[in-house]
Order: sequence, then structure tokens, then C-alpha cells
Amino acid sequence: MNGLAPLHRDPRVVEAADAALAQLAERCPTLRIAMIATDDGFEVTRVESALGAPDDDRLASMASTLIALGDATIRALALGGTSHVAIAGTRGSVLVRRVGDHPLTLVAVFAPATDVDGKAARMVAAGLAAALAPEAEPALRRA
Amino acid sequence: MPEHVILFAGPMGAGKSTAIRALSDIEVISTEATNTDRAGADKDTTTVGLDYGEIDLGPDEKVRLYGVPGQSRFDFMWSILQERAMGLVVLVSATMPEPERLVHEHLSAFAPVARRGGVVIGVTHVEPGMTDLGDRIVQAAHAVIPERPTPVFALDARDPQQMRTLLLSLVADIETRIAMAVPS
Repeated sequence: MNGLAPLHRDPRVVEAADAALAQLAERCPTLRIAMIATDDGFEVTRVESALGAPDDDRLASMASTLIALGDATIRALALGGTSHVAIAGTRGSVLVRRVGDHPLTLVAVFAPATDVDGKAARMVAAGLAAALAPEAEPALRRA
Repeated sequence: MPEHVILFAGPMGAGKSTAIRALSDIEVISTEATNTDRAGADKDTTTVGLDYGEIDLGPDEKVRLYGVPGQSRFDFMWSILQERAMGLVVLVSATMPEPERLVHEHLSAFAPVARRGGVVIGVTHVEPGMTDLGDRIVQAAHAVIPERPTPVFALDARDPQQMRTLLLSLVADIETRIAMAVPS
């Protein structure tokens, strides 16, 4: 990775994220939009389904805030580390899942989510984490 | 002060989280994330949700301190957090390019809080020789809030004494406005 390029524009990260999201879209029929974003709220890449994505361009930053607020709660209650945050609405749901130890999250909006969707998101995030070997790239580790 | 909620706003790297840590009587709740764009600001982490601290005034009275994320992509948090606030601290670093423009930008975003309550501006990292910086910042604040003067302080956000002085000025500004308000 070029040390000056921000993580969300790193071609290696974008390529791996594209592949991961393609897998998720294939497995999740209720998916409306999925995105890989950095921990600090930059979009890396996204996939939108025929169901239509919500009309809001702040999904990456909202995901960043949600997982950070989850972290703060988990930390205050001494419950270990945060793996994901899920919010259920009456017409859909949002899942924000950490990508291993990388400063990345997978955020997905479902209409609504099923058990299969949650499992698929977990597997895809784990696969992306493995594809981006942290030991080779210090910038790919969470601070 | 009907409700003691103070917001700390300003660009990333101005010292908002540091200031709240300097003031708070409790361990600060923070929502830091890895800063993945070091070209934007050369620091390891950045606030992406909020910082929260408290100052105890008595058994049933607290000042709640909220720090907002500095980047505009988190402006949805700006809207949420300014609803209950009665006081605003805008922090900016003197080492940033065009600090007066940043003051204008962030003060404009939180102008409703400044108008219904009070506002002070803190300038961090001020060095000797920055002679016209204060005037530029005063003018920027006046352009946003022309109806009254806005106090401007040069300070070290790590220093609890300096931060308390800033906060006392803010409380005085809020109480002056309340005292001078025309009864409806």
C-alpha cells in the first residue's frame, strides 16, 4: 500500500472489499445496500440491490458512529470487544460488523434481515479480514 | 442556566477531546476510531460519535460536556447534540490553515446554540508573533453573531485551570444573556 494513500482508496482494499460484497449480495435476497467503510467513516465500496438503497449518503459515517457508540457501551460495561451492532426497524434493519482487527466495517441494510443474512455478513466480514493480512500492512491495523 | 449542557465544537485536531478530559470529573466516555486519512490530519485517532464528560456542581446538579466530531460527514451528530445545549465552546488550532475560516464554518453550524445560550472561542497552539490572529477570529465570529461580542481565548486545552476559566466565561455569557433578555 502507498503510505500516503488513505485506506479507503487503497486498490488492494477496494478490490478485496468488492469481492466480499459481491458474495454477500449473492447470499442475501433481502439486502438493499451493503458497504465496506473505514472506522472513521469513509466509504471504501458499496453494492446496491434491485430492492433499492435508502436515500442517504451518510451511511459510512453513521456506521462509524454506531460501532463507536457500541464500543463505548461495551467498554464501560467491561464486556470485551465489539463484534457488531444491529438495529431493527419496522421496515428494515441495519447491521454494522467489524472486519477482524482491521479499521474497517461492513455495513448492510436489509428489508428486513433474516437469520441467513446475519450469518452471511459474519462469514463475509471474516473472509475479508483474512484476505487483508494485517501483519503485512501496519495501516490495516486498528489504532 | 436552565440546563447545563455545553457543546465543544471545532475542526478535527483542535483539542476538543483533550479539553473535555481536562475538565471532566468523571472518566470521559469517548468514541475514537482509527484515523485512516493521515493526509487530512496527522493523528492516530479521531472522534466519530461524541465525547462525554461531567463536572459535578452538587448532589443533583451537573454540567454535561459533549464533544462533537470535527468532520462535516458526521453532521448528523451535530444536529442531535445541539438540541439540548445551552452553551458552545468553539475550539480551533492556530496552526491550522485559515483558522478564522474554520471558526466561521463551525460557529455557523452551531449558531442556534450560540444565539439561545452563550458562546466562547478557544484558540489552541498560539505562538508568539501571531499578532493579527485574534483580530481575524473576532471578525469571523462577528460575521456570524453580529448582535454581540464573542469572547476569544488563547489557551492550552490540556490545562484544567485554563479550561475552567474558559468555561466560567461561557457561564457568564449565558447568564448575562438570560438577565438581559426582554420578558415576552
